[in-house]
Amino acid sequence: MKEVIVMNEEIELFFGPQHPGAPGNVGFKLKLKGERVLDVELIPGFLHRGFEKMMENRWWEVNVVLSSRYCVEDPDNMELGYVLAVDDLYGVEVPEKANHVRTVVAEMSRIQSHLFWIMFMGAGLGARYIPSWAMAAREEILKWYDYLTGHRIYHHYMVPGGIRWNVPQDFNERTLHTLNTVSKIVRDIEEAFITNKIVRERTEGVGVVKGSIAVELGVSGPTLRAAGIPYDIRKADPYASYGKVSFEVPVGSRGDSYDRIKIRVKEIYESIKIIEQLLPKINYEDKAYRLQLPTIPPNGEGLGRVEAARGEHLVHVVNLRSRYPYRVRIRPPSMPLLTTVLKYIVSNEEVTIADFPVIVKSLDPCAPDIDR
Amino acid sequence: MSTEEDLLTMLRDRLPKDKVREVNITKWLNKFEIITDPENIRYVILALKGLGFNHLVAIETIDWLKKEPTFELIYYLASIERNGAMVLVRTKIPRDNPVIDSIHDILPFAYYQELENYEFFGITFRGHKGLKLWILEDNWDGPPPLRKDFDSVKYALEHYYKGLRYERGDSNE
Repeated sequence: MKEVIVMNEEIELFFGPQHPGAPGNVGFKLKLKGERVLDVELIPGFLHRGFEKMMENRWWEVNVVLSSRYCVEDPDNMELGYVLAVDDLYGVEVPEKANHVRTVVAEMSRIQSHLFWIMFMGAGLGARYIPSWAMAAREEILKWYDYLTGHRIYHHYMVPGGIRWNVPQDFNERTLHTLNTVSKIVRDIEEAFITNKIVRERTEGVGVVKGSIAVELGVSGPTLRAAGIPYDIRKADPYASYGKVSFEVPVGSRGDSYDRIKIRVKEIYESIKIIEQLLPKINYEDKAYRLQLPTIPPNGEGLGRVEAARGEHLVHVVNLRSRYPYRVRIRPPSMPLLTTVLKYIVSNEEVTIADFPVIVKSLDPCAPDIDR
Repeated sequence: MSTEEDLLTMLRDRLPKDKVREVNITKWLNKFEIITDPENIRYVILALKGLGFNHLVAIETIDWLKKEPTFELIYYLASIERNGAMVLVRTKIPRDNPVIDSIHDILPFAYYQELENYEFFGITFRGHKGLKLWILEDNWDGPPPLRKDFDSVKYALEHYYKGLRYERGDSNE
């Protein structure tokens, strides 16, 4: 019989991008001692396409098509960020109807992003039935997008100055029908997955980020709210129609992976609430849904700040009187999750190699938006 | 609007005149603009952190080649206890010697934002220990690609298409 060698020296282990526990197109360099993860270093760049440079070579309105493509899971909030920045550059107020529809589309995107994440989380924890339920619910939303915009994944429904085309007459009923189906499945998922004892034992107390340190790590979104800080840009700096609806911001107390799971599921219900409030406000007779803007915007700067599904998404555009942007700065939400937050967790608690995928998945990073 | 005025007077009072050039209200609601010299950047960020602006959102570089030979750096700092108010700290550094102090020990997320600005604009952050190609690692040997004097089409033709260019023939002939 061979002797078992206990590893006592530090080793380096590459984790991802092909690993099933990796969150997408990123790798990690882990420093291990035995099973314990001592340090983690992110290796991005597998999906770098240079969006900021590409946008400088395309027209303002054409860039909408690029603006959603750096995050597959949450495309409409990314689009909304760019569109808000360009609206701000033009200095226009878009029609009320366009604002309402933009908000509905963005909230649908948040729901489908959270469902996509439930799929990841379920697969990561070995609950094999959860992914298919979550994807069934997401499929309903993709069908709804297909009905409204003609596309399933990237919609390009928002344009500077409004929305691309008017909503159909049966928009209200169709949306409510989709939401009913989705909320039924989400309730099932909640009963089978969120209250599940095995899930709780696996995630409680794992990956704690708590209190004001989370703010300095640069993180926002559900991870910050799970840390106990009720910060939501939809409330703090309302854009589109968020100032006209009432909704709650779910806040966690322990800041562990389980809190993050709970908060995302609660956010799905809040998003449904927002959409249900906005649907009666959409006036179907109203023909004003898009402003005709000049092709060349005025000189200056525009800023768009959006609460995307993963946190703050900031877009800053600069124009020097041209059909092309002079500079577009995109700050998508995932970069702090996989850099500062992961480093903080690994240095503050005993993370084993088995916990590592659970922690990474509970943070819900969208790997392509780190590379852009 | 009174809270906005209050915040402005607070920022003007608490930041010393010799370190900060201007403190302005921007056209955006609840967002302020601080213009400072690059040598005071650490002082200003530290002072703002003490005032509650401790959430670094992003660091942005703008290459103003078409107007003047400078890089403008913008630090976006938000304050969560002040309900998401935001300060944009702007500073300009010369284009031929782009060096500025690093702030990554004040706000940890700055480490990665500075890394990004280093590889895409070639800005050196003094005191930053890990400046290297990060997103572009093993993939890039050209100049910093987001600079305005970098011609991406020319570079791609030389490096990826062996100098050959696809010429579209006139289909009518």
